[in-house]
Formats: sequence, C-alpha cells, structure tokens
Amino acid sequence: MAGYDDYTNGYHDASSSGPRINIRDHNEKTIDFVLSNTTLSLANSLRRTMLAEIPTLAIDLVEIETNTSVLADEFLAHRMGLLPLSTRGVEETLYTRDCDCDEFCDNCSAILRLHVANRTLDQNLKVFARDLVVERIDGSAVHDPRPRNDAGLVLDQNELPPRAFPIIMDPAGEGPLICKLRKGQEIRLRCIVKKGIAKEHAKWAPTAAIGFEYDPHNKLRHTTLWYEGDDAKAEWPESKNRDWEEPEQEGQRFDYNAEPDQFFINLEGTGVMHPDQVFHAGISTLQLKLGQVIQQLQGLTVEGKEIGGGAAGGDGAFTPPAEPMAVDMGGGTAYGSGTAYGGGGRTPGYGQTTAYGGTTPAYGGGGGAGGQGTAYGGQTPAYGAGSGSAYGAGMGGATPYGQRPGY
Amino acid sequence: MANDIVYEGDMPRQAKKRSGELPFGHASYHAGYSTVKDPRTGPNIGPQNLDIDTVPDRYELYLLGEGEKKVTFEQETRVPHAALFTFNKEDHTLGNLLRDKLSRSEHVLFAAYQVPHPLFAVFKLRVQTDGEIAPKDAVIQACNELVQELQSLDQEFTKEWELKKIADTANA
Ligand SMILES: [Zn+2]
Repeated sequence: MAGYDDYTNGYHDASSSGPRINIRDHNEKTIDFVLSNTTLSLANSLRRTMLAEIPTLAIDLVEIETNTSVLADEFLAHRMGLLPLSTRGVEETLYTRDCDCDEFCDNCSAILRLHVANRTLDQNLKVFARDLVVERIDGSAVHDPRPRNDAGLVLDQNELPPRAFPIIMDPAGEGPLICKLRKGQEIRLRCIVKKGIAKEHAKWAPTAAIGFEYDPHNKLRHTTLWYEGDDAKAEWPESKNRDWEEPEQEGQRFDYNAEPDQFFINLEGTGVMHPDQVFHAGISTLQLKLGQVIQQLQGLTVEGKEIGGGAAGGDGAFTPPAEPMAVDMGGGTAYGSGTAYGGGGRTPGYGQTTAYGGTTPAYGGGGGAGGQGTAYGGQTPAYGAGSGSAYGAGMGGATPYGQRPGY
Repeated sequence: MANDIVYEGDMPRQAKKRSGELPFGHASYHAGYSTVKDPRTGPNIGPQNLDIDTVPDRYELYLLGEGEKKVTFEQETRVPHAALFTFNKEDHTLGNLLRDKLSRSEHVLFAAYQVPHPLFAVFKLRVQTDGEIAPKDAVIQACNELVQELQSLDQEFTKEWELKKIADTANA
C-alpha cells in the first residue's frame, strides 16, 4: 500500500517511501516547509482542504441593541464576522444544524457581547476586539483563565485563548479595531459565534494564505512564461526556491514522464489556530472526506445497488486509522492527545461556571468610557421592529439578515 | 403595458407605481417568502423572511440534501468493467485526488473526472478496470491508500515539528 511501508513499520526516513517534510522556517503564524516524495494531486488537495474546509469558529449573527456609531448596522455586523476567534475546543463544538437545540445553545455556539460608549471623551474612542466579553447563553460570563497585570492580559502566543475568545496578537494587546466612537456615541450588541467552514464564508478560514510552488526552474513546462523581449529568464524574478533544485542542463532532453515531487509550501494562518494545527486539521478533514466515500461505497453492491436496503450510509462515523506506530517524539499530535488543542481538560471554554467578577475589565478600558449606564440616544432599536434585530455577520454570509436565514 | 413605461436614459421605469407591484426590471427577482430551509436555524417563520431566490445558499456546496447520497454509481453497459460514479457535494479537491490515485493503480485502465457544471457541487468519475477488481473496489482501495498516505504524512509532520521545536529550545 502506498505510503505505508511494512518494512520500516510505517516509520519514514530518507530512504523509505511515503511523504517527507522539511520545515525550513516557522513562527507563531506561519510555517514554511518542503513537502516531497508525494504527488501533486495530494499536495494540492491538502492545500485546498486547508484553505476551505477546516472547521473554525466565527461570529455568525449579530443582534444590535444600540448602534449610534457612524457605521451602519450591516457594516458593523460584517466587521464582527471577520474577527479571528480562538478555535480551541472547536472539535467539541457542534454545528448548529446537528445540534438538538431549537435555535442555538452552549453546545453549538458562544456569545460575545460588546458594549462601549463614549460619554465624556472629546477624542474618538477606539473599540477593539479586546472589549468583547465572552458569555454563555444564560448570560453568565465565561472565565478567562489567562493571567493579567495592570496593563491587561498577559499574552502567551504559544497558547490559544479559550474557545471563541478574540485572537489578540499585537504587542499593545488590543486586537483588531472594530470602530471608533465620537462623544455621545455608543454600541451595544450581542454576537452569536458558530462553527463553520470557509467554503460557506471566508470568515471561517484558518489560513490567511498558502504559498504553493513546485518546479522553480519550470523544467516540466507546466508554466509558459510571458515575455516581451528575447529572454523570459531576464524578465522574470527567480524564485527563492530555485536553490533547492538543480537547474536544467544545457541540451538536456525533455522528459515527458517526469512528475513534480517536491512542493514548497508556505502556510500562513490567521491566528485562530497554530499553523501546525492547521496542517493536522487539514489532513484529518481530508481523511474524513475519503472515509465517507469508503463507507458509502461499502454499502453498495458491485452493480451499484444498495446492500440490504441501505443498511450502510450515514456519515461522520468514520475515524482515521489508529497510528500504525508510536511516534516517539513525546505525546502525539496536537490533535487528540492532550496537547495544545482541545484534548486534555484544558479547555475552560464552556461548561464550568466561574463568575466573571464584578468589574468587567474588558470594556471601558479606553479611559473614562466604561460604565453600564443608559444608552445615549435612548433605545434605538437598530433596524426593523421590536427590540433590536439580527444581522448576518459577514457579507453574503451564512446569515440571517434581519432574522432571515437567507443570504 | 408598454404605455406604462417611461424611458429615462437607459433605465426603463414604470410611470406609475401601482401598489403591490414591483418596479419594472425588478420583476425577474422573485421576492417572496423563502422556501429554503436553513438547516442551521430551522424553518423560516414570518414575513421577515423575504428572500431573493436567485442566490444559491452557500451550504449547498457541502451539505448533502435530503436523501442525497455522497456517492452513487452505475455500471456501463457498453464497456466491460467500467462504471460512472457521481459524487455529490464534492469538488476538485476529491475529484482530482481520486483520479490521480486511480490512474496509478495497475488494475485501472481508465480514470477521469469532470465537474459537469460549476454551479452544481457534483463531479463525475469514470473508472474502467482490467476485470481483476471491480471499479467500486478500485475506488475504495484508492481511498484507503490515500487515508494511509495522509496518516503517514501526519506522522512525518509531527516528527519534523517536534524535532524543530527541540532544535529551537537548544538554540535559545
Ligand atoms: Zn445547540
């Protein structure tokens, strides 16, 4: 079987078959690696899966109670949808469509509240992602176990925040800017976070970009370079990957059977999960897809009829094979066994009740703005009838625009 | 009807808006209660569910419809050991991957896929074997091999990643 070598017991070194990885560079957001000894189709399918099909969390519904800012409700809702949120515990989170609740619940969603008003400040007050407060459906706040000091959160970029907490990566600890408020302006909204994939809306993408190159010398002629002078080579910048492969020899005959076998991949995440988790999640998503096909086909006869009137079928039950050998590198993958992600009881995201404490340090942080008081401009029920209304977060997103589950 | 329309520049417009009718040019969009059920939020209720039916729901790209199967196939009658598979709610990600894997099998004589129309999340895969193995089993085998290959890739990555981290702490 390809990729699994009995002789080496599945363990691959340079001489064995199976895909090879060479990590060239990495930081908290990006991994640059060379994938080799595999096919273009597998490398490309993995790339496509990592871009579009890994489940993550994003704001999907925004209920606007008050918005007297200069941004229209829809505009604000769209911005909210694009905020990167921690995917920690996303495996334990259900899709709302699979959940047995009526609308949404703690098992399939998280709530982020935002209430900021500029009452006294003559300058504009900036509203940041750090001002969001994470709560449960019943309104109780979710405890943030991360350490704080006088300046705010003490951020550790090696560890993801609890589930659905905004990702904050800037040194100032503010997170993305949501909007600005002039004196007298206020926003008060409730956001519903849901699990989804980027095929539905790009806000669910765990990747910002994936660089993908092979055959930097174009020896395979998969590319035709445009040129205006006499020499294409003189007009095109050379790839930084050129040093990793031998250039074409003068007078060398074209090999019609040659196939690409080395892929230079630059995987850049958005911060919602670590880049190595993106890689693992991409693999397991693709395995799950293949598993569904196996399961479905095994329920059919050779003629294509269903065996025993559709005994098989159903999806999701497939599990990737158990690791055929022990990785002696300590404690398995990021997935599953209690490392970084989800796994071992380190996800205080939901379930446990911890009081958030009387003062809400998350908001009003911007100097003199805080306070729960009354809304400036009275109760401005944003849009539509009744008490506020729901907006889809994210343009053309998954979402009800004014309660409507259309798009 | 023609009398009712006044042309202003390029834009035909209704001279008088009669209540309950859409302006000319808007008529092709069917604005009404949505008949589409959003699987995540349950059935639509009430008049606020105004929807424009020309925009397909994005979840239709990956969620199987009611009673829809992930994959079905039919044997070809004119050619021996050949079958045409239809994959629902899948795209090039799976189509090209399977095609390539199948074409590397010694028992597969022909493997190709197509996406008949880009607006429908369906692809067709045609497989012909030498008779040693049924097309269905060739596809199952291809899937199994890919799952294994991905599994070994996963381990290879973990190994390299852990080694990198050890090297980093040693350098730090
Ligand atoms: Zn639920």
